[in-house]
Amino acid sequence: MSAAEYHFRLFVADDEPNSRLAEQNLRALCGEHLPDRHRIEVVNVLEDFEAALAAHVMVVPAVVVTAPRPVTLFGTLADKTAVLAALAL
Amino acid sequence: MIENLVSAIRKCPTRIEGLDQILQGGLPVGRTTLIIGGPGTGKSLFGLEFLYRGALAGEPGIFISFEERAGALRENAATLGWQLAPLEQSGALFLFDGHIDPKAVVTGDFGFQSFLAILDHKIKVMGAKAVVIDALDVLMRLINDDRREQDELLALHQWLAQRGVTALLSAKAPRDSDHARHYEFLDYLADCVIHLDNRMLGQLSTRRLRVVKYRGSGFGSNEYPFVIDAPGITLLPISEVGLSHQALGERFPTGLAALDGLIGGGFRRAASILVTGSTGTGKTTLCAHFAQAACARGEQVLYINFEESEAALVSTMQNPGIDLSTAVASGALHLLTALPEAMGAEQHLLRAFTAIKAMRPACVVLESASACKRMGTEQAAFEFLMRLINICKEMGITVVLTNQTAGFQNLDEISGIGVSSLIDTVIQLRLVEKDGSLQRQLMVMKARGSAHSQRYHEFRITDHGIDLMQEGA
Repeated sequence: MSAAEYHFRLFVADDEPNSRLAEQNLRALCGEHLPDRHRIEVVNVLEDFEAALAAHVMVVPAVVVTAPRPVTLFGTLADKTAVLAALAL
Repeated sequence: MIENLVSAIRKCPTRIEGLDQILQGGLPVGRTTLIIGGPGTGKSLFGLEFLYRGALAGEPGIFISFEERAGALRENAATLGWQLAPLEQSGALFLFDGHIDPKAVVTGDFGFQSFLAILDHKIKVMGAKAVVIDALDVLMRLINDDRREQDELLALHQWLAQRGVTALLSAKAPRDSDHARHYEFLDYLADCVIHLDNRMLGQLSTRRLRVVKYRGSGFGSNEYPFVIDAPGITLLPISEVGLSHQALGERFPTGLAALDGLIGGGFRRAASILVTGSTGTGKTTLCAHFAQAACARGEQVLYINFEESEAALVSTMQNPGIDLSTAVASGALHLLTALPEAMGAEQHLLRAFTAIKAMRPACVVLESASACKRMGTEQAAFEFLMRLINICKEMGITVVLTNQTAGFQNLDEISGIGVSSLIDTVIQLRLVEKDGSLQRQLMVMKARGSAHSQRYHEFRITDHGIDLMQEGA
């Protein structure tokens, strides 16, 4: 198992239900699979649309994983199997 | 009343050549228009040209593509000669790079709040009146649920309506019935729906546009061929045309010195000349003289021929000793041949227009006006001829048309097609029996802006071309 640190940028729209769910799912996943080796930055697109524009994030919630391997996830992260596969965990 | 309804719809001109005529003014202001077409049919360019021309006219616009990168769009625009950079810098145009990473993984429900937040901000900052959302199908494909997709489309539609922007959405044409169902809903939401396609017609790839719906407005309901070439998209809807002709210009030789003498020195630039006569009277020979002389002076001539092939014309004209092959080889003489039946009048017109634009000839020859009727209806032929003569007159090009007459008729009419008001000069050729043999005669029946002979003049077709007598027959 790699010990690389995971960097997540979570894009949300205030606290609308899908965004809230995505944040809960991401934190749970990190607690379970990546304790002490993850960083989460939450971006509220309604406040910081420039960041969304720069990252080409058109839908929310979305997670842009910048390390160790870049990948973009759309949605609430409810499909855990798909999330783990995308993160190579 | 219908008239009231029509006048109630405010239109935003697209400023795309010919499109506003088809849309009877443009896109519906503050409403949604849908443009659907297969890959490579020009959907993005329609959107981009609409915003580009709007921005030039002082109406800021936003272009979002979920598929193409902004860099690729700028490159495409540059090939058409559109300078986007100054408009982007001045805030008149914003290219919003929303391409969706095809490798992205969908892990649950999501919404469009992000792109709407960006769009909302940009609309306010720029005072944008027009928004193009390109490749909406790519965004929709992320939602693998019909019901949710409809909800999101409805929400998007309402969002756009609330902001009062004139929106143009594009989506790729459906390939299967599943997708067709989605577009049905989009079709229903949109106030105006335009279909584009690109198909082979003979050897030619032909782009076509069709307006299938326009709530509260009339529209041109034909399929309109179009071309994408600098300086942009061109449609040539055939309908009533405004006249903006150049005045008749200087005289130049017709190719027959004796004929020059009959019409005060030659044809005039930007004039339209009709050579009329029954079959075998020498119309083609006269045209060949004209074309050869023009090419010999170093002018470019476009010879539109609905009657015979290039090879046939060149070889036929060798008999009366007129060499067209040199001019063809040098590129000074360009033949555009097709059977009138091969395509519709609009396609013929677009083909001629494209050739004229590319070549910028000094003279156009058309053989024959009478054959144009085979494009379909007499009305189509009339409109084709009227538009062609009009285009030539606007560009200062001299156009010579032949017309094959049968029996007695008004000789400055084209086989019953009334374009005579657009014809400046009419030359009639005829065969008459004299002293037991057939004699060829020519008469200048009309020559606007010139004193001309009013008599029949005898001529012969010899092995060195037409030999015309100055004296009356």
